[in-house]
Amino acid sequence: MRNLFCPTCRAKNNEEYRAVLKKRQVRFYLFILTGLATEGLALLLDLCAWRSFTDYQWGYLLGLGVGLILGGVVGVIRIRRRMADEEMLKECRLRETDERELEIGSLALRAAARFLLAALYVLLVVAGVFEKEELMRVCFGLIALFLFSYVVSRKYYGSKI
Amino acid sequence: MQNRIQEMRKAMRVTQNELADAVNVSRQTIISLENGRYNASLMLAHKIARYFGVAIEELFLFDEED
Repeated sequence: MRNLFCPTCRAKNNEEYRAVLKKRQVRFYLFILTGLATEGLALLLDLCAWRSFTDYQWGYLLGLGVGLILGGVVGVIRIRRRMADEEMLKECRLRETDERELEIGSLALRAAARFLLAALYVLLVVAGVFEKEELMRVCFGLIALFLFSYVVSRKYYGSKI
Repeated sequence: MQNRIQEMRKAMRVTQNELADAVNVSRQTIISLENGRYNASLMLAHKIARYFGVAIEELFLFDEED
C-alpha cells in the first residue's frame, strides 16, 4: 500500500526523512495504545458480563485490539529498521518522495475509486433485486458519502491551491 | 514532449544512478524520462537542466501540439 496511508513527504535528504519517520513512529505507538485500550475494554466487559455480551462480540473486540497492536508493533519495527540502515532509508525516501511514484499512486487511487464506485453500484442493484433493504441503504450511504467527501475535498484543495 | 536527457547524460559520461542521486529521484524515473513514458514536473525539469548546465528548453523539446 505504497503512498496510500502515508501523507506526502517532502524530505530532501536522509536526515529530514529520519525526522519524518520519528514523527510517524508516534502514530504507530497510538495504534498500540488504542489496541491495548480495546483489549482492556473487551476484558472489562467480559468480567462484568455486561448485559448479553456474546462470545462473538467479545472475540470481535479482542481481535480488533490484537490487530491494532500487531499493526503498531510491525510499523515501529519497520521504521526502526529503516532508520538503522542508510541505504534502506534512502530507498524508502525516494519511494515516498519521487514525483513519478506519487503520480503512479494518484492514478492508482483514482482507478481504485472508480472500481469501488462501480462495485458499490453493482451491489446496490443486486441488493435491490433481492430486496435486501439494509444492504441497499449501506451501499447507497457509502456512495453518497464517497461523493460528498469528494466534493468537500475538492472545495478544500481548491481554496488551498 | 521529447527530451535530450539520455544524449546529454551520455555526452557527460554520467550514469542514470548518478543523475537520479543528483536530482533526488529514483533511477526508474530517469529511465521513464529517457524513454518518454513520463513527463517531468517543472521543478524536476529545472533540476535536471541545472545539473547539465543548460536551459530547460535546450533539454526538453516542446511540441506545439502538446
